[in-house]
Amino acid sequence: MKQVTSTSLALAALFAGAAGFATPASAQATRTWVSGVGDDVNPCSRTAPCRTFAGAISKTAAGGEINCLDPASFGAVTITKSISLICEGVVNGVTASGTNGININGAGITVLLSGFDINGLSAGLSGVNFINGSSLHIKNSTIRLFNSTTTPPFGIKFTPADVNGATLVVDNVTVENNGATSGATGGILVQPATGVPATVLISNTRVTDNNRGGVRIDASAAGSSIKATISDSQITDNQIGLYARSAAGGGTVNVTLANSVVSGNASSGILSEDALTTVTVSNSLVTQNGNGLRVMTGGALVSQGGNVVVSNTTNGSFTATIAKQ
Amino acid sequence: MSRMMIRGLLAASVAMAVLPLATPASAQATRTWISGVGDDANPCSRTAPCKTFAGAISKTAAGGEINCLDPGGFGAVTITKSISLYCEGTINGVLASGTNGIIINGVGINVLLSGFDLEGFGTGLNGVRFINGASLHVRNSTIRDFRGAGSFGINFTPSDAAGATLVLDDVTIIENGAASGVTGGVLVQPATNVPVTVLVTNSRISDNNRGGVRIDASAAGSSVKATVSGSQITDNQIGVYARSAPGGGTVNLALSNTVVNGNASTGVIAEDALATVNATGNTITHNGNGVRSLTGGNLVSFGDNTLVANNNNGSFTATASKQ
Repeated sequence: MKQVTSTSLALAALFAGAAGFATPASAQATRTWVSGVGDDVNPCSRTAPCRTFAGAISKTAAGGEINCLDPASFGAVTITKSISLICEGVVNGVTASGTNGININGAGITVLLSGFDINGLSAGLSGVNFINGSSLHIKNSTIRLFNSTTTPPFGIKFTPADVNGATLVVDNVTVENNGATSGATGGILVQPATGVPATVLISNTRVTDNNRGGVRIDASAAGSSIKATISDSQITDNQIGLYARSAAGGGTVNVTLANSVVSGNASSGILSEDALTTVTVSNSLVTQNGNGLRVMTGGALVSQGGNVVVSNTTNGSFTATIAKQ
Repeated sequence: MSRMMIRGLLAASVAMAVLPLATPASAQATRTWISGVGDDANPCSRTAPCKTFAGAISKTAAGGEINCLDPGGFGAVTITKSISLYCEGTINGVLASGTNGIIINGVGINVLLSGFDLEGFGTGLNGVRFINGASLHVRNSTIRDFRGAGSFGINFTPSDAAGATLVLDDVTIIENGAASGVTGGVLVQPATNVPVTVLVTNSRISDNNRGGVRIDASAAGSSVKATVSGSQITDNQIGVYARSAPGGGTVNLALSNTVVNGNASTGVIAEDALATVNATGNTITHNGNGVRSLTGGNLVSFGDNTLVANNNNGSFTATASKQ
């Protein structure tokens, strides 16, 4: 071999050895890294991080994890495989003006988003848009300013499509200043498609100052169902705080609201619509709303005791009470 | 073209390609960065950060965000447009000796302050001084040592008849307030005809001179709807003071699952018939007076408060039932 070629080969071998996981360009790692001074041509390793979630995700194995090495804006991303994006302890910014922040769309996938600052810059569509998957867990995050006037925006839009069902967990999340000024829009939407069962946990979360709805739970699609628990949260200063609804021919909605504050919502604090909908409330404070408690077309609003319903323009009343045990 | 020129042009175009946000000096970015070793002459990008909030804010688009890249003292700032100052995960120090920390003054603006360490050094005027705007959300922050004359940790006095909202979430407000006068931890006092909503959650308002939380709708046509939940208001002179006056507006304060403890003068005061405190699930203890009603103030208990071991417990003016 000519000397030049063998030198080149030696250099190539050196490079390949020094680059850790980076052998063939299509190799995937179980943990990849993004950094504010990364580069998406890198292998996304700890010492050669990438720059964006979109750049790192193709180099991350299904079921793996992308971590943030330092503070930066890492960009919107569409997720089609199981993955965790875990970025505690640094500013992890995703801006999404005119688009969705994080899209989740893959049959049976499970996704964890932890430590996000998702900002729609007053023109975003939805902060987290879940179209298909098995589960989504969002924690320690802030989702704000999704106020598109073209597509009804939500901070979190959870509309699973797989009849195997899907789970949403929202834990220590602040969802604020989202929603357009009219239509079905607001902080959080859970609306499974036909035949789809959904379960929801919203815990230690603040849903405040959203236009229109705070939390909208909708099983009006035939054969859908929703079981939701909202606990230790504050739903304040929206237009309707908690809106649980179904419709004739739709599916069942069962929402439990515990240890929470529902205050300052201009239209209603808690609204339960349709005979297929039951909201059970315990140890919660419902105050300073337009209507405190309201039912429509046979919705059930059940008290399990310990609730303070006071100083609403119209307090309203529970449709039934059940005893604690 | 000579080879040197070609190389020079190539180098320049590469340099331009790696400086995404740095075009004309007056361009504003939706996200800017500040760093303890930044420079306010920079474009405030991720790779060329600025040094202070005041230096970055003119380079940040309205509705945008300033983030802190690493720990630093980033200085006081006046905010006149919607913006988020979001600095989780690092030390974001604002030292405001003899002055206000953050001033917010702009019609209809929405401001988020997240992850702040505001220090008044004993002479600061107010940690956060809100004069005009639509909403202020302060969270994950500490506000201390604002003890100048008439000072408050948070001084919220909106002036727009369209109204304003204040949210305090996981905020520690301690050691503020001058030795006398109207001063203390938090003041909410809307101007004439201004409606205000307030949420204080998971916060600690302690060891302030004079008032802990003072909610005042004595201006004609003003109103305050406030919820204080899951918080600790301790060791101030008056813990929670909900007041109005003849000719003033209504104050409705829901006090829920909160500890009001060790306040030298009084734990909870409602003053004037236009003021109502609805109390549920609170512990009101070790205060001078536990609860106190002045000039017809309404103190409503939902039957589940612990009111004990105050020098003088006082009593609620009415009870109501939970459902």
